[in-house]
Amino acid sequence: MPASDQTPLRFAPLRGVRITAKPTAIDTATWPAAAIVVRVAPDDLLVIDASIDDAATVLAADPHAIIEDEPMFRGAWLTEAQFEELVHRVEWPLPQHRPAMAQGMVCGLAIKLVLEADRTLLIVSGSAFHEVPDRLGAVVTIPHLTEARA
Amino acid sequence: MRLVIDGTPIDFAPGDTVADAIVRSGQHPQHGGTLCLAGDCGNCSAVVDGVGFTRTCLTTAQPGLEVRRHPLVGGPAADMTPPLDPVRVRLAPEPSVRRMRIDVAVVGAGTAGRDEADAARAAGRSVVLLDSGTGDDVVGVYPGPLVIVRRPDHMLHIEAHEVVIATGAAELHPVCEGNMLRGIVTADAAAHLAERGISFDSAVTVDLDDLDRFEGADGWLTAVVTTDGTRHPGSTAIVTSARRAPRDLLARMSDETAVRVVGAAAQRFDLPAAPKAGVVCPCSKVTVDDLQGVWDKGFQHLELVKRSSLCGTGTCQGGACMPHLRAFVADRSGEVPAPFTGRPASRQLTIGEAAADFHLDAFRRTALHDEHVALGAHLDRFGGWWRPWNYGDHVREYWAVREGVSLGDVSTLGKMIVSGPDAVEALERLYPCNVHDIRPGRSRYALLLNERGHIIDDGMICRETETRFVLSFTSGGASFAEMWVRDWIDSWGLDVHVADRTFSQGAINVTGPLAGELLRRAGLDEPPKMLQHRHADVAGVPCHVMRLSFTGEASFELHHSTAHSVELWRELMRLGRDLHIVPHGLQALFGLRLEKGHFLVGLDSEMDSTPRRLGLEWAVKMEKPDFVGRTSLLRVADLPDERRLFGMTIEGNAPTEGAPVFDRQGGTVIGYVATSFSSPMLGHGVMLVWQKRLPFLDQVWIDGRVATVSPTPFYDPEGARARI
Repeated sequence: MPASDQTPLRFAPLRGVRITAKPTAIDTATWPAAAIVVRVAPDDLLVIDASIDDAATVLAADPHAIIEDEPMFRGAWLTEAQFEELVHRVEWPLPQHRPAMAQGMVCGLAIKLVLEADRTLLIVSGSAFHEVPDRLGAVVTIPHLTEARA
Repeated sequence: MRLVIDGTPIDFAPGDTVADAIVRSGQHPQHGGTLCLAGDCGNCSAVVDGVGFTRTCLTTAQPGLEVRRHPLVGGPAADMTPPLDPVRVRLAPEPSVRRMRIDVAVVGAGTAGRDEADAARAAGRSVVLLDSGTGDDVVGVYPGPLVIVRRPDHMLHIEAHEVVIATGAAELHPVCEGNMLRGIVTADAAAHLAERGISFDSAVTVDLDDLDRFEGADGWLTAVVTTDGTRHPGSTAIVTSARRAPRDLLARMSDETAVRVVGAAAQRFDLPAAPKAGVVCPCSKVTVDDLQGVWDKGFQHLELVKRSSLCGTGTCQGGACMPHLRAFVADRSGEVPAPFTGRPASRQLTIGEAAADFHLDAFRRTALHDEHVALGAHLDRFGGWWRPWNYGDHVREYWAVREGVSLGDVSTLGKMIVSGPDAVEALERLYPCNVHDIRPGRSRYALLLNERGHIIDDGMICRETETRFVLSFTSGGASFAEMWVRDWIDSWGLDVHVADRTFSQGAINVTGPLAGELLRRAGLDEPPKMLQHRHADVAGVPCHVMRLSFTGEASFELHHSTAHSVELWRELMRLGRDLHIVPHGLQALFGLRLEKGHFLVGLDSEMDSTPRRLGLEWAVKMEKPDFVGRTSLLRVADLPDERRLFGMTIEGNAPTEGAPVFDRQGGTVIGYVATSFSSPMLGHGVMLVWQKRLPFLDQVWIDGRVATVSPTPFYDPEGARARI
């Protein structure tokens, strides 16, 4: 199917911090204003554009917290039209309200969607990134991988 | 404008279907049969642009379209192109799927359908009105209900609260002698052709009830004979009937109350007279004589007649033949049978359309994938990952490990952090080995068992602090192991955090007698000793360095952030250049580990392999109060077991993996070779062999040669080389 929105999807490596801790400890943290906070589960948090140092309060509240650099994801911001195209490939119910986070399989790829008020971040694992053009290329225009990496 | 049929261009008019164009050219889309031009029968189906059984009456004519008629007997020839690997090769652009969730889906935009749609909209419900005439070809109704629609450029999957079938009624096809001649059309088809400006020179109109037979020559109609014996010459017969057949195939696909049938599709029409001669089912070329034949053999039920004769199992699923088939059965049984169940799809679909939105799991790549490619690696799929099988010379890679230094990409190993005050308790329950006595900075090999005591994975337990551990799992077992560990710990309600780091952490195995030297060059002055581990910078990259040995040589796994995999790999390769460092792939690794007698979960073990069957009782501490699988192991501990994996050697090259094992030459098969390797170092074949009959034998026959049970490891049994 030809993509309805010809805007290329620009994936970039996402660097951040991953935290597994008691939910109450996670809630103590404050993050840099530019950080993107993804609550994967009550005890599992991914914070993009943040560092381990930013999680000091979590470790204070839960000394057994697991706090690690997280280099594994790549992400791209979807235009509204690209998101509408992607929705047609999602077999599971998406959240009705924003902001929200959703995750599941789309076209055989595990993805996360960060649904902010006015934009959507598509996140895929770096280990499966090479499959993105083939599997999501029918949904959104994606430059050749080498270009996407640049 | 022209399209091509059987290699010959023919003209078509704007708005023509392919069938219109073919009839306009004086031809028939097939080799004969009544044309309804309404999509109800398969008599106009042909190969259109390579897709067989396409209904040409529903296909818009386009310049250059290539149409091939089906052969007179059988279906269109299958593509005999050599099979392609569907994972590696994308066969054709994948039809995409769009999804819709709606209150009411109405199929059929006739009067009844439009009325239903209007009523639903008036009630405030969301409605979609689907009609093949506007490009919405509904091909299936599944439980849910889920409506599958084929559109020209994609598939549409509709989840509807209610489905209304308003597809009207189809004209009856004549069943009599000569009904597969060319030149026969239904009344609606004749009207359609007239609208398209296609007229007939000598047409005979006949009512179905008055029809006796058709006569023809060279496959074309020459006359219609009515029941009063009158012969009506003509090249075209227009068959009319007051009766019709409900077009309810989609409704018969579902027995859900959410699927309703309305209008003519819900109407009960009288059946035609029982057929006496001719082809009943044009799709499967089933004649009245064929039906009688199966009836006489005792297949005296509609379903039995259908299945034994194939009448109604063709592309139209009874669209043309069902009324006549029911009339046949009613005539002989005295009871009018109910229509048979419909099955999706109602139209021929391409494999691409049927499989749209179905995806094989993605095979992952490590962060070092491009490095492997640049080094000339032959990559293959293993454990869900693309991994180097070799770099062109697996023997050279083998010797680099045994005599020098080599790198292996083991980023695919499962990696998990377990942390919390109950971490020891959790791992003691999970693993059959002791955990409490592993000191910080030390590690231990561990099996992972299921409740039945069967081995489901293995790996290392590395203790970092009193309350924090790093676990490793096999590449193929990592995903399952993660779920396994999480599920058990959750069910026990222990205070433990679990974090999977498989995709975030890369791992490089530095192995060989010169591995320590390489690490010293990389800044690691005091590499950990065997089964120890510590955090240190290697070549400037923060690493968790674990010393263990799968190859039998000194080995250090460098676990690190995948963000630094490439720089670490390149720097190690640079530092080892004068040590003649080469990377090794799985082909060499599998041989190296086999010389050490290490088994591989899933390759050497079976689904029900217990530690005893693999000779791994030492890895199980039955004196522990409890662990997953203990109860089962305890129950079978004193029972005899007729399965055992043995290390064996054989003179010459190793036999093929999977080779049968005989108790004597020409004797009975008692097992098979699990994995094997022709050892360059030892000069003979080494194997792990399943024996599955008691008593276990010290000597067996494989490939006509004697093989002998041998203790493992085959190579360096004292393990001195791993401790260099």
